[in-house]
Amino acid sequence: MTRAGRDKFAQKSLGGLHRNIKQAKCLMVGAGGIGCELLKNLVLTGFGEIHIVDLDTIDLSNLNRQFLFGRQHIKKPKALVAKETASRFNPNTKLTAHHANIKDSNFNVAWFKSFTIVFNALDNLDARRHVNKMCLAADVPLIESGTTGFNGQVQVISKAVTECYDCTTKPIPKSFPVCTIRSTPSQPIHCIVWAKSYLFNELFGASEDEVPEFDHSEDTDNAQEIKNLRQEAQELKRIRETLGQPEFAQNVFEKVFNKDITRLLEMKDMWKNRKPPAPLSFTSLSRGSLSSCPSDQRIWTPEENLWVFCDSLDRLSLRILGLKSMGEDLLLSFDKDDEDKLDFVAASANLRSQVFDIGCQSKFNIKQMAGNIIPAIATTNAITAGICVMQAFKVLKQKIKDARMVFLSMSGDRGLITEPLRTPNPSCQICGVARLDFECDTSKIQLQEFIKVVLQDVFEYSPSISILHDKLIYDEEYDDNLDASFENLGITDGSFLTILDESDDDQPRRVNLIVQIKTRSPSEPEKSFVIPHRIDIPMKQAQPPSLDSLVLSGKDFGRNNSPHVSNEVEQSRKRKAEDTLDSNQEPSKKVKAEGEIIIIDDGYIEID
Amino acid sequence: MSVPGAPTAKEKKYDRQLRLWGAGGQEALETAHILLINATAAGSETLKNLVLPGVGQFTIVDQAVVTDEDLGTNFFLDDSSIGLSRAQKACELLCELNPEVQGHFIKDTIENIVKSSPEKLKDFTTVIATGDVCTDTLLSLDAILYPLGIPIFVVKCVGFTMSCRLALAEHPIVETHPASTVDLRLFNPFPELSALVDEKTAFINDQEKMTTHEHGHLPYVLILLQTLNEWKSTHDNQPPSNYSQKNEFKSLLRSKMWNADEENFEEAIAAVLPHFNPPSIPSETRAIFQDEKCTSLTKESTQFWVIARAIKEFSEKNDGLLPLPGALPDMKAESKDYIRLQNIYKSKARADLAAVVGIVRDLLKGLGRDGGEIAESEVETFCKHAGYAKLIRGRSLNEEYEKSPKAQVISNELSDPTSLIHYYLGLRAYEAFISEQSNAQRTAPGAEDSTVDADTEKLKKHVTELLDKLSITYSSELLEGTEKAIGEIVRAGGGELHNISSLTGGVVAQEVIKVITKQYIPMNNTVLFDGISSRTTVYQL
Ligand SMILES: [Zn+2]
Repeated sequence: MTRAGRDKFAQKSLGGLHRNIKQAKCLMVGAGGIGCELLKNLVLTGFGEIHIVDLDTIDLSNLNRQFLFGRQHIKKPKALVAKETASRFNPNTKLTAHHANIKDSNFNVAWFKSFTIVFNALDNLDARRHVNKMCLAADVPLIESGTTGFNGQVQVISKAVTECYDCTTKPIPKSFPVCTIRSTPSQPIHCIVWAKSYLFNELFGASEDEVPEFDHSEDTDNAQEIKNLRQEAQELKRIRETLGQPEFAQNVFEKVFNKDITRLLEMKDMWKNRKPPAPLSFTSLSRGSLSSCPSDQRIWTPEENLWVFCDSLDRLSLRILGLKSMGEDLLLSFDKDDEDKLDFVAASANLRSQVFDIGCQSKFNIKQMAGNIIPAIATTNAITAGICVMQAFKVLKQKIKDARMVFLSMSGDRGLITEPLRTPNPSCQICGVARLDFECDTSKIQLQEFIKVVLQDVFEYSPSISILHDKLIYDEEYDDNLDASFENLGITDGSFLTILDESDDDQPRRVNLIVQIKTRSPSEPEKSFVIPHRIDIPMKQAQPPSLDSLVLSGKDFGRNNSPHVSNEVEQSRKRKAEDTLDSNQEPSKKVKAEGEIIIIDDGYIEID
Repeated sequence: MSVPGAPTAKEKKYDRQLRLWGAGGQEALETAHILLINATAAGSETLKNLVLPGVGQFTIVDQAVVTDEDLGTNFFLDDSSIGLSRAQKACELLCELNPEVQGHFIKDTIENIVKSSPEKLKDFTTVIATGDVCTDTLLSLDAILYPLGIPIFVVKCVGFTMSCRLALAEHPIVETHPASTVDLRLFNPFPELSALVDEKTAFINDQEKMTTHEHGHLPYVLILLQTLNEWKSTHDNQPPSNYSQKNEFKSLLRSKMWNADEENFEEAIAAVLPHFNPPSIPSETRAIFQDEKCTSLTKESTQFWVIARAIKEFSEKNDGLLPLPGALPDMKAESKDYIRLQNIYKSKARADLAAVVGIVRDLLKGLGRDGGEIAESEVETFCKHAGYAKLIRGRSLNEEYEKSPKAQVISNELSDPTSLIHYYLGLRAYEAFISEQSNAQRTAPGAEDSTVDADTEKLKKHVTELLDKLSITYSSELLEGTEKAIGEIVRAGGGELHNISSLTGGVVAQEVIKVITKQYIPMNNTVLFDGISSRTTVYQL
């Protein structure tokens, strides 16, 4: 049944815009905190058609704000449940749900082009950047949003008119050198990362070498120590085989808190200017006899740490053995919301802190530090989603110049802070580019054919180029892939190649060329591709020569003195989106956790 | 597998918010009982944002039945609700959001309750008025609740506009959640700290007796204190006081560096401007100390005032210093030195706390109360925030409507056509417009197309009457902004736009949470929002 009165107020307030809204087809990426609010707003405002994409399933800790979900929905896909709940509230809106990753290849540029407007309601940087890129390629306006605690932010992105998401540098995740974590911790966070990314993984998960978070870029400076660490890991693997036996907990304990520490102590040079660690002995520590896990709010005593260490190891071992008996996968991965795993990480981190005489932490704090937890509440999401829709109205009215960048900081006498949208950053690697569609048969075309016939003959590129497809596939010194077909290089329909002009610094360089691959229709099967028409590729504007290399290497791009970037430090301070807890951090690498600041050394192990 | 002693399902559900307001804030929320007047879209959205984080109870007062228009704006009503009690249906759907919350409803008008059973109102923790409530009723509510210290939020949401007015007589906040509570005591080092400075920095200028590593790992606090001693010896024992002296001081620090990579010295230089302030009690804290409730305690004095008084006495005995919060920022240092320094600050904070606790106990006994009635943890929280505590003294609606000591604020803003004060006037006129009508047959301005022009004129008349009453002079140009605001309000025809209602629900619930938990600083006392420009302004009216 449709009811005429339903739209009465919307029609009155929105006037002619109401028709645009009814005809609009929107895409909402993410059905979490902001997503639930946004979907409700879009449905009740009368948007004609909405697609929802979300990969996640519902967790208990979502229910304090994600009101489209109830207890009965835990572990079900967010996208499907959100659709089901929201559809009850306006029969005139057509809803489609996709329980999928927005990066899946079927969500290609053509698919993005079918939408009037896209809303990002995501919680991670990677997906945000992907949608930004797709919206630029499809030339569809994007409303980007994020929240942290009481803070939030909404940004309108429109190709060639406004800044894109990547026009401002985003902070890199915090990271640590292997030696700090494995041999010379000096802060609680080092011990937490050790417990979570090393010990837990060695005992229950994929081992260190397979963990992508660890970067061994400093290994060569510490070759001997790295060799020792490898051996330690090997020994731990052997102990892993005793899992389930009564002495398992003791074996692990003696290994990591005694034997390995004693070995470290022999490295006399290491302790010249540091307080040496003190090995713990399993038998001399009293395990106490607790009946249950102590409170997660206070710092545990050494006895309590030992008790929880042994108890959580028992619990995890039982789970592994249970899985084994059912012939299932024996690997566990850390999950902050899994009590057994969190207990183990908390107790292990604290025992290690004891060894190195570093302050212990409560389990509550360890959960935040290990899980990178972002505080989240309904109110901030409601305000943010409301602003998103207001900005969408401006876009649908073709008044994008009236749209605003909005920051929420609902405290004291300040409410919303609005700023005019900025124009694109000319040196942006994502939107400051030329674009080309390239039709080909990916199973036939070879990389060298593409370089010769397309890039050199049509576009007159010099030999000094690099080609990236997620990672580098060609440059002047790296020609291994020349004979490979696109298909063999993983380049398929909808893939993007980025062509970088690597001419000498004193030469003018072209902006990056983004080539979108389209699979050729088989009407002319004898040709492996269609020669594209030449398009104009503008020259880059003058910029500090360092910028390219900094961004490409993805490392340490904080120390940049160009005026645009320094501007963004200010902006990223305000910009506390869900994925960027660290965004208020300068490259001095300080992490804020429960009112305390911890310095993180240089290096490259990410925590989440 | 369930683990004994592990966080309960409830703690897990609320984990993300506990990180904002802690167990104390959560408990305050769970024992609160909210009264919502009218299940409008904005009202229902506000409740939604309170039910989700686990408010104890709510009661909806509303006599209306659900109409088609409600369905277009209120998410908590569906097709099956048409023709039924709006209070009941909204209550049912809101309760589905959180089984821990108890919802109640009263199918009546607030006018009747205020008239016939005002004593019922005293049971609520907070009252939120939304929708069309006439002026007389609002002022009667205010007359009952304001003296009792029960906060009232008056929420108006029309078209693209909303306002939220908080009336609360006294609101002390200890946990204001400042960005940092660090006090390094640079200008007033205590003996243990000075001793460490002497021990660690004796050879700061001696490359023979200190290694480069040691020099590069001196904690910056010690560097600053040592250099201050040096400075004071040549400056009449005075620390650098003005900007140019501070710059001179920075140069002195720089001259002590052994090489350009000494991060600890860079930290010291960066700390000069933020941390070189003469010790003084912040004005907000001083206002608390000077408040009559602090200077003359009674048998009924609340915990806040007793602790405030104890801290006041503490500072009088300690050269005007507040208890040390004890927090230490991170810094480049050897971990053993850092931990030692941290312990020195922590021990001093513990000693100060013990002194304040002693005063609290004595004060309570002096008042004939139980010396142990205030927990040490409460005193500790206050000591940590002593320099950041805040007292809000609000203003009643009656005062605003009858005398408005803040007429000047309105007057000053009138000439700015983009000021949101025009929406304040427009919404006050809206309220006057509906207050003229009898309860049963109320229509909003602009509800009927045929009366748009007449209604617009009526609202303008209400604005000029209001300005006359407040003795504010105006010209027709001054009211240009107000006319535009009235135009928007009439265009909406009394209707709500869902996403504005939703945003309003977010703003109001957030303020309600701040007030209930007594954490963070609420917006005092009127927030105005204009959706068209996405702007907010806070006025003290
Ligand atoms: Zn860009």
